[in-house]
Amino acid sequence: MFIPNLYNHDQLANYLKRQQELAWDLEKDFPWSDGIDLAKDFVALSPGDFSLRSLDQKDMLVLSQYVGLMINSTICEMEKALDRSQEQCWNNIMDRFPTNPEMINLGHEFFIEEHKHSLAFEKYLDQFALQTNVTRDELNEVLPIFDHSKIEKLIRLNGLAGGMAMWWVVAAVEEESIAVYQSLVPHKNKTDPLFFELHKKHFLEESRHAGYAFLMLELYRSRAQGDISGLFKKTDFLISEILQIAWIMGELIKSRKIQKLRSRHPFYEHLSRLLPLLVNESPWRLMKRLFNKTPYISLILNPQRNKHLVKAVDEFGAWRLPHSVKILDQEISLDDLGEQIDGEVA
Amino acid sequence: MDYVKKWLQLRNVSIPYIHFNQQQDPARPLLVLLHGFPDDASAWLPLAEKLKDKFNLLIPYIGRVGNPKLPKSRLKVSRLTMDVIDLVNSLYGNESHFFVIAHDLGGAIARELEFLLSGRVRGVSYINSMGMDVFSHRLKDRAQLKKSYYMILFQMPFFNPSVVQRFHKRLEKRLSKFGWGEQPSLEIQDKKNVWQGIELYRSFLKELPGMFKQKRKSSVPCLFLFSTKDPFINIPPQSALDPYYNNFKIRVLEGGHWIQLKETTILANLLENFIYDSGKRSV
Repeated sequence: MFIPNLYNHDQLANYLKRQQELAWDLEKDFPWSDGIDLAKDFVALSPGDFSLRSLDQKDMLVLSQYVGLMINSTICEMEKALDRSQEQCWNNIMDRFPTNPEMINLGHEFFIEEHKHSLAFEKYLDQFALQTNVTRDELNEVLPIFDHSKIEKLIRLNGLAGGMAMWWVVAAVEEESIAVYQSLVPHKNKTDPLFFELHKKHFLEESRHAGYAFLMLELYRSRAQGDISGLFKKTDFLISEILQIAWIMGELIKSRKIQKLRSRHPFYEHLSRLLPLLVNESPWRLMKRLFNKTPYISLILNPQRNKHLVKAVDEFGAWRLPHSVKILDQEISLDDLGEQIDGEVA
Repeated sequence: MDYVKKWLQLRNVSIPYIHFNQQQDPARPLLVLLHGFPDDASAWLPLAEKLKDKFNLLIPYIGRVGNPKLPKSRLKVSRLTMDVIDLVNSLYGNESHFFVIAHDLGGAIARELEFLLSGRVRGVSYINSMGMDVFSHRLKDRAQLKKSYYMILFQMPFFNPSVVQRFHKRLEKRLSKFGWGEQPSLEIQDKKNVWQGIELYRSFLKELPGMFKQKRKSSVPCLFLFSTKDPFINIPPQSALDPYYNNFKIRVLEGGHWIQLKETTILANLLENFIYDSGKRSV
C-alpha cells in the first residue's frame, strides 16, 4: 500500500489527483437495472467453514448470501458512521494539527468517497430487500446496524476528547474491505455479478485512498503531545478493537430475528431453519470459531491480521488484545494478499 | 558578487540593507524579506538566490544587527516598521505594492505592515513566525510557553550582546542543530554581530502585554510555514489563528527553525505560488 509523506505536498496532491481522476460514478458504472442474481453466491464459503459438515449446495448458497449481506451492511454502516463523526474525528484533528491544504483536500475527497460507497451498499441492500419481498427496515432488523448506537457515540466521544479510535477502526475496515474483494476474485463466475461489481469498484477506490487513515494516524503520532495524547496513543487501538468486537457480537445476535421473515421469501425460510443448527455449539467454541475460522466475520472481529495495521500499532507502541498476536503468526495469507493488492494498484 | 550591503540615509538614521546588483524590473513583484534572531539579512541569501530572477528583493537589516549604532529608542516594533516603510518608499516609491516574507522575530514587523499598509501589502508569508499580538496569545498554550523559556533568559542583565558574543562558537554549535548557520560564509556578514538582536528581544517583550490586549483581524492573504522540528515555535492550531486573519493558509514542512536555509527549492516554489495566487486575487 502506498502511503504518501504527510509533509510532501506534491505527493499528496498527486495522490488526490489520481483518486479524483479514477473515481467511479454511482449510477453509470453499475448494472443496477440487472438486479441481483439470487441463484448465485455472494461470497465464497466451504462447508468446512461451519460446524455442520452436512450442508448441501442450497444451504451453502443461502449462507453465502447471508454472510455477503452482513459484510455489505457492516461496510455500509461503518462508512455512514464515519461520515457522521466527521466533525469530532476529522475536523478537530485538522484544526489541532494543521499540515497543508492538500491534506485537507484529501480528507474532503476521502469523506466524499466514503459517503458514495455507503450509498452504493445501501442501494444493493435496497435491491435485495425488494427482490426478497421485505422492506429495508425489516432487512435491517437482521443485519448489523451502527446507526447512532452507544458504540458509535463512544467512538465519537473518544474523538471529541482528542483520541483516534475512529481512525483505527477506519484503517482496519479499509483493509478488511480490500481483503474481501481479493477473496472474491477466484470465484467470480459463481458470484452474483452485481455483488462482484460492487466490491470491485469499492476495492478500487478503497485501495486508492486506504493510505489516508494511516496518514491521519501518523499525523497524530508525530504531532500530538502531552500526557493525555500519550495515553490515547497507548489505548486507542485497544478501544477500537473492543468496540468493534462488542458491536459485531451484539449485531450477530440479531440473526435470531430471521424467524419473523420466514413467510416472506424462501431465502428467509431456508435461513431460519439453518441458523439455529449453526449456533448449536457451546458459547466458548462458537466464540473461538467466530474469531478464528468464520470467513469474513473473523476479519472484522480480529483486525490485527493486516500487516500495515500491525506496523502502525507497533509504531504507536499501542496496546492490543493478546489473542490477535497469536493469530497474526499463523495467518500469513493476508500478508501475501497485501503484496498482491500493492502490485495490482501500482 | 550579485549583492552588496548598502546604507540608506533616512532622516536622522542610516538603515543597512542588501542590494542585488541585477537590473530592477518594475514589472516584477517586490519582496521584502525580514530576518529574525540571531540572524542578519544574509540569512536570506540562499533563498534569495532562488527568487532573484523572478522578483525584486529588498532585504533590510533589522535593529542593531548590521547597525550597532542604532539608538535603543528605535528598537520598538512600530519604529522598526516605519524604517522598513521608509526604505521601501525611498527605493521603490510611495505607491509600490509588495509582499513580505518574515522569519522568526521579523514577523512582528510584518504583522504591523499588514495594518499600516494594508492597501500596498499584497501578501505576507510567515516562516516559523507570527505577529506579536498572535504570539502573546499563543503563550497561553503550555507547549508554546515551554518552548519560549529563552525569552525570560534574554531579560537577565548578564545576558547582554557583548557577553554572549564571547560564547559565540558554543552557541553557534548548539543552534546549528536546528539548522542555524548553514548559510554560506559571506563577506558582508559578521556572525558575532547577530547577537545584537538580544536587545530587540528585550524591547519587544516589554511591548508584549500591550499586544495581548489588541484584537485586530487582517484581510491580507497570509501563508504560514511552520516546521516539524522547530524548538521555539509550537505549531498553532488553525483555530488559534482564526481570530487574527481572514485569509490564511498553514503549511508544515519537515525541518528545523531555519528551513529557509535548507529547503530553499521547496520554499521558493511555495512562495512563488503564494505570491502568484495572492497577486491574482488582489488584482
